[in-house]
Amino acid sequence: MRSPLKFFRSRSLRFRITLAFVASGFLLAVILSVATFFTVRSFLENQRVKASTRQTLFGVLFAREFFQQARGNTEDIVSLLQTRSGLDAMIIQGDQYLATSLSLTPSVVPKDLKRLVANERLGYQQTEIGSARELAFGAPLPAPDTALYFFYSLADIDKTMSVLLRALIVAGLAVVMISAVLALRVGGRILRPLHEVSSATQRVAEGLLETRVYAATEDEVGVLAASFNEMASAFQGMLERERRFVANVSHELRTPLSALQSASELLVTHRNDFSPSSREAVDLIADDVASLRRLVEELMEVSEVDAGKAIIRWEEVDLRALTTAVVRKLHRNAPVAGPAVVTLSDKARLERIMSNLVHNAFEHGRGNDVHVTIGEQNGTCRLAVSDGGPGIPPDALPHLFDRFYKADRSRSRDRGGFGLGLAIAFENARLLGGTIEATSPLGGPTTFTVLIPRKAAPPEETP
Amino acid sequence: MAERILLVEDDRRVRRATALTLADEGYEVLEAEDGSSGLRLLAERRPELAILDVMLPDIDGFEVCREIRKRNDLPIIFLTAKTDTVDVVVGLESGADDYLTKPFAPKELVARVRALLRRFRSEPRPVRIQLGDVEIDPEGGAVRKNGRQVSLTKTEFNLLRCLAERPNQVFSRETLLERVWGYDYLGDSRLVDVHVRRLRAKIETDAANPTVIVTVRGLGYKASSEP
Repeated sequence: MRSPLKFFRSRSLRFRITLAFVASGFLLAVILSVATFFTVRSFLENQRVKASTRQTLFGVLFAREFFQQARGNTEDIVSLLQTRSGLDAMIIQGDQYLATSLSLTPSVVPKDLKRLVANERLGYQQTEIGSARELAFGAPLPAPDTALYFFYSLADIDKTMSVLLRALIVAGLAVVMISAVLALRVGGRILRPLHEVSSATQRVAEGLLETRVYAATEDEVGVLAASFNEMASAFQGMLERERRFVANVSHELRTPLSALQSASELLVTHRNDFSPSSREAVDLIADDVASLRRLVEELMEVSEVDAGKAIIRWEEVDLRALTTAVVRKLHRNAPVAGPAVVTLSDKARLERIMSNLVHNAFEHGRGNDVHVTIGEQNGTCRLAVSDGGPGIPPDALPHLFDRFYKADRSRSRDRGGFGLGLAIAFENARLLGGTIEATSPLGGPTTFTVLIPRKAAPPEETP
Repeated sequence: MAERILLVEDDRRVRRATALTLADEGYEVLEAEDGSSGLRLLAERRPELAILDVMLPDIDGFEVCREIRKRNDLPIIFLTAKTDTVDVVVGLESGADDYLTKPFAPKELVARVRALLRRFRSEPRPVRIQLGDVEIDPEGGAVRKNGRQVSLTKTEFNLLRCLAERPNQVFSRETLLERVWGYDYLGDSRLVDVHVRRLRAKIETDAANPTVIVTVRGLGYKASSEP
């Protein structure tokens, strides 16, 4: 079982804030209620004691005076006290009661009070008769072992207190509820910027580096937002510098490599003029120059996409005609099946995608059994390139479109692949509003499917 | 006699490597490292084709291209950096017949040069075509509008002829790329669009409302025999 603390910590901050608010509201309500309750009760009781004392003193004086005259006729005293002063009294001698206007037995007189009175003193004590609280006042009478007792009911105070208690409970519940509502709202307000920062972080993680958080306040949350923005800018700047570095390096390498390639290809055309070892050297140079140049081109392309500078030139493209031309340009033989689907797209980018996929299928598939299927369904164009197997390991599938990823490290270096082809194809598909999916049943043929939205032709001619 | 090619390129390595490749193909290469010496060589040596880099230290390649077009209709290929897509249109607008993005494969350049020279050498079959007020003369590609001679580049002329030989037939951009430039489907359709625009500027009465070369929405272009 999880400890309560752990449970508490695993809850959302809003939940915890609310809980803390409610708990303190509850505690406060309880403390205030208890204090109020006992203050009011002791005040009321003190008042009652004072009033009762006054009445008792009057009653005692009256009874003493009358006791002399009535010569111990206690019944008369009691009835007089009742008729003249409205006081209920009881006169006791020893344990025997002599007279009373109450339906009470002498046993209700508290022992401590009795002892006090027996010492010829006047006193009072709170007691319970039945379940009702009473104030018992006692005073000695001028006769041996004789005392006069008065009883005052505290029932009305108790009733008042129970009404007060109910009111306090209701008020306490209200306080708890109000604090809960307040906590939810205040918590929401405090946490909203936090949520914003959190979702902004998410967006940055998804690659939207220009994401910033706006904070109206300059408190801790404002500081957090500012720090976040600073971090995002720094991050963006870092990536931008890195991208620019790649772009600059590629750009600087481009021209000399281009010249190198021209020169090396010239040498290759005259390779038969060289000795066998020079011939091999020339071929090596030409191959490596060509593949270096491709790498630089691909890096340029990637950094262009990263810079968001990629321009899309929309024009009508016949997917089948394009694919057929791509296959022909690669000097390969792969059947292209499916209807002639015409859509508005970027011909150069589609060519890049298809060229990379078809090339990839021939390079990594078994044999030359490559075929392309073109189709259209519900406004989505599908171009599926399948190879002849042997499939891609499942753990490699999710990384196929990662830059510089090679499913088969040992093989692809020789083939001049850098692991950028599929990444570039994917970026281009994304630019066209589409995507590329790869499926590869174990041992079966791998199929790359390009899915791009079919767009209607523009009414005006493309410029 | 070897055909002369003017190569204007400021980067020495690229220029030399390109010149070597072209020379190896049997062309005589006139090398210039800036626009003004390029124009001088053009006047002195009368090359059959020009290859111009866009970025030149003195006059930019577009300006050189416009200068050449003022006096001569020799085929022009310009070289542009890949990222500058605007350059392509500007280059074609200034009168170039084709372009290559840098860095280019030398074989690709040789193929373009060869195709352009072949097209420019071929004499058109003598046909007389009348399209509204535009008349195509059988002799050497003279075109007259309302009897007044209009000067077209060879590529513009070939484009007009291709369309005019079959009036009212719609040609897709791809078909025109294939017929006029010798490209397959993957060619840049901007070649067609910019050349059509240039052609219209020369032969249409109102280029904004063309009546001779008409755009067929979503399909391509056609030559209209109706005035």
